[in-house]
Amino acid sequence: MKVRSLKQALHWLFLVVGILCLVLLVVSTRTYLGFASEGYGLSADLESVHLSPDDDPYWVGFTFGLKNPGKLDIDLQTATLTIGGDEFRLPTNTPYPQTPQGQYPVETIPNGETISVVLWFNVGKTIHDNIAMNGQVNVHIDMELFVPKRYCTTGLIFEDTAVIA
Amino acid sequence: MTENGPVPPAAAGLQTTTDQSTTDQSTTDQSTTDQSSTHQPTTDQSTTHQPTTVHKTSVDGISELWEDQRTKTFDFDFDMYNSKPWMLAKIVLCISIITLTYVLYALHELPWTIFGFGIGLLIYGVAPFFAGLILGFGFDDMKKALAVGIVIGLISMFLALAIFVAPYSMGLADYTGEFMLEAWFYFFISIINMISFVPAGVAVGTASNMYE
Repeated sequence: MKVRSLKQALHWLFLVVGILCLVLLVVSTRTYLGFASEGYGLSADLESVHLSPDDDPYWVGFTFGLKNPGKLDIDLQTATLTIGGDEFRLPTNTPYPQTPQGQYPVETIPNGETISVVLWFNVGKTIHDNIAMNGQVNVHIDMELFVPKRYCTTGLIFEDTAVIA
Repeated sequence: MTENGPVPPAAAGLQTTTDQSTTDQSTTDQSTTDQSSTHQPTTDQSTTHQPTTVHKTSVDGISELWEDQRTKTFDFDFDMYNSKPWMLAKIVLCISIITLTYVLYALHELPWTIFGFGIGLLIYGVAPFFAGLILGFGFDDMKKALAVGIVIGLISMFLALAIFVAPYSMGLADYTGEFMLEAWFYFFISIINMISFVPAGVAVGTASNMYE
């Protein structure tokens, strides 16, 4: 191939690659900003909801599939459940009462992996009974995440209507 | 930017021939001085009689060869590919390619990051070189090309840094002070990359215009 033809081909290749790069740059920037503002790419799927037996302590447990598609480990520091305007914070030192499948307490969601996590909250008898009676609950969970390699604390909000298993 | 194009080697070659004839002439001149009154009138005569004709032919030949060489060299339509719209597009796309490379190397959180594997490292080196190469095709002045290449590289580096620290400066999340250390670290890495690969690409691109 003559040099001049190569130059011509390179110009057009450059044009195509350049436009792709421009698009990818915009997408990457938007994704990065989106990651920082919420969840760092972490996605949460609610797998099941469990209620405690009708006995003290009254708790509700949520099993989540947490997927971390990025290349950074993410620590789940704490979570806050909001039901009907009342807030319940994830207890950090109390062991899970009846340990179903899932990990607790969760420390790290490794990069590129999906793990099953159980978050449970002491909710009190009134709310416990309401949930038991309705068979479902409107869930609003605010998870606080820390990304060690970015020295960054951000959040992930999960909202859904969950049916009790 | 090239307007007139580089000096064609054929023309240079022809010039050498002319020079040679000049050298010959000077030799002859020397002999002429010596033998102005003596022998070797033939040589002397040839230099005295022929200059007008020979000189005229050489100049015509140079311009023809020049045009011919220019057509051959730039038959991919050099003027079009280095016109203002193309140069503008080249500059913008160069900046986006180099910036994207630095951004993707620094942002490990993105699933399509180029950090941490062999092909990614290759892209990290080749992409700025490629951008510089295409930019270099638009120049025939090496110094100017290198200066423009480095300026574009610097703009890209600062743009990449701005993107990296954007969540911090926009307050999208809570960061500790170490985050900025991380940002400066990747900025430093990009300096090393830029100063190596962008001018190298620009130099190769410009040199290909000179010596084709």
